[in-house]
Amino acid sequence: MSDLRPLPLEVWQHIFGYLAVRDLKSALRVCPDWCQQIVGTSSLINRMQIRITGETTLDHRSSGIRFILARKVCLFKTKILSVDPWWPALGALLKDLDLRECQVVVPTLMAMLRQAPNLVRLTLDKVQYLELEDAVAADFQLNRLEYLSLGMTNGPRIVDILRPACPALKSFAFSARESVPSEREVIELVRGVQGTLEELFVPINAVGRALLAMDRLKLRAVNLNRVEPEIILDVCRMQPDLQILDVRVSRLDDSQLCEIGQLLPNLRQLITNLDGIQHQEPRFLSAMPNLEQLIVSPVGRDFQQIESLGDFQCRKLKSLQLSWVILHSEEDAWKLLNRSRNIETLKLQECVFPQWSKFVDGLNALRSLKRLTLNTITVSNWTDSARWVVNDSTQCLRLWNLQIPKAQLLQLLSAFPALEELHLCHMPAVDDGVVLELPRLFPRLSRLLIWECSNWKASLRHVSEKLPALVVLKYKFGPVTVRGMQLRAQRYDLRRGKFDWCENIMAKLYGLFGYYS
Amino acid sequence: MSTIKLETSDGVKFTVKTQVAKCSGTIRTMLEDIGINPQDGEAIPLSNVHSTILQKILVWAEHHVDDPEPPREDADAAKRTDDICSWDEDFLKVDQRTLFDVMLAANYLDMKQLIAVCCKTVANMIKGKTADQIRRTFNIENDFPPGEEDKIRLRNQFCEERSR
Repeated sequence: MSDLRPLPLEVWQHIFGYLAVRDLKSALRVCPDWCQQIVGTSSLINRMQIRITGETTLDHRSSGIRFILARKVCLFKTKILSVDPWWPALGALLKDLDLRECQVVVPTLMAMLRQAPNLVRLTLDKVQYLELEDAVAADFQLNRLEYLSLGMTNGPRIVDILRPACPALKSFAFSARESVPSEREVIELVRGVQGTLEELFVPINAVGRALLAMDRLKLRAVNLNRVEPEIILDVCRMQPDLQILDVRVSRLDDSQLCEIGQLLPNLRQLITNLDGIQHQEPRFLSAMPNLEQLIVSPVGRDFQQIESLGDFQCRKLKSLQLSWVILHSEEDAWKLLNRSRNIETLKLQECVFPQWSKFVDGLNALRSLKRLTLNTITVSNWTDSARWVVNDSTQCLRLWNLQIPKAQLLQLLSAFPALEELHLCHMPAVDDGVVLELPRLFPRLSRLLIWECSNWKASLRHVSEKLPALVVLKYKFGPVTVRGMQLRAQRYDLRRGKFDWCENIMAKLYGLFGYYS
Repeated sequence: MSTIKLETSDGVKFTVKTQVAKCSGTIRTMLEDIGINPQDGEAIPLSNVHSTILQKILVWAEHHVDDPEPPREDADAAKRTDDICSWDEDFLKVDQRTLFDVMLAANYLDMKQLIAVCCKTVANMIKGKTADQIRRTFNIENDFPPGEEDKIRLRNQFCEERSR
């Protein structure tokens, strides 16, 4: 090593940890020492993946990916005909293979898996299998495979083919169109791995029922969508260690959810709807003291109407996401926030509530709030006097499609001076005046997205020069007032109770805008 | 306030507040574990550090002596380099030789925060550059056999940051 290169390799290795893969690829080619150092550091190599997307066809001529450092390969929408001769060197060390939406010749897939004995994760969602013949069988074992995801498959036989090859699964996901007759195959697979399985994401009623007969099963996470409520309760009875439960399209009422809370003392994450609790105040949160994350999303596109979220103390609740919820109570809608002060992530989408100021009071109580997302919120009164308390811990604020007046918007922005990420999308109140305020309000801003607001380019250019920490700036100009949005803003009146009428309008609007999802 | 003496490789002696000196893991170990007694008035020899560099490092340690422990970062993702505070940025506006000497000394003295901020600075010097530009920046000789570098490039052209 010449005296012009005085740093020892251990120090360089430290530096490499701060590089993104695109820079690591340059660093690899600097000198053999660097190359060896990077290749020999598993935390760097594990971050690399091969990703080929689009209408590529892979066959024996695709020699460009012959020797690769990556431990993950992701071939999205690729047509895989043949992987000889370049696959063996790559497959031997591979840990993660993702063939989402690929078309793959089945004998080729078998060859790929046979030569990837160290696979830990395999994702075959929406794969189209070509040449899937009766005689195909797996003549290999993926003993290290822990995670298998098969979705929307065109051949239920693939489940049968892979079953004997995956003896030690910890996580299995299977989603199918309801018409695909795959229940028997899936149940067989789950039964085979019940000794090791911890996570099961298979929303099929018959599979839920079959779980009741598997006495070696000890699940940590389960998706029981489309499973009847009685079976859900039975599964919860058998699996008291469950921490994650997804029942977002099952129709459970409040007392059933309460019972689930009592059956599952360790429940940390719950994904549900409130369709069974219409026009009341849900009580189930009082039965789930250890809940850390609650996601409420509707079954269809109908609003879930409740009085309030309840007046419970959820000390451990860190993340709360509500979509398509109408809160009727003027005074008590946000009492939960006042009593559950450890929430770090709050995301409201398509929500309706009467008083902006009451919501602000709830937000003020959340001193630990790190991320706040408000997407398409309708309130009947934006202008009642809201009192903001400045919150220094919030780093990320995303505002989408709010009809909030400019003065109230500026108050809201001023309450979060430590923001590092800000999204303003479809916000009529965001004009040049607001944009020019951003550098003063957010000295630490590193990511800014301004999408179809009322500002012009000049203010944006000015702002991008004045924000010293800015790393990412994304913007798009376009018409702000979409006819439908104005309609909603003008005619939506909570106090007159015109919900049904408005729901239809909203449902139509939803079809109009793809960006809500 | 208690002080200790440090002696650099060129024989210069520094009298330093103990608390500041303890920013160095190496010195902390000497004092606490090995039991070197600074009250004796004897200087701790730092045989790998030149006085000009120690002078600079002590300025940094004095400024950062009350910093809290930083949060642990995820080892599986590229660590941030855009969070260098402006004081450190000014502090490290030095020629490359000095920067590397500070890093070597920080490495020897086991000062994790200083190493981290130096590494970020060097990483920022690498970011966005081609292999050839990196070599020119750090004066590194390309000692790959002919054709080898191109082979590495071809082999990894599809590599990218792992999605999670």
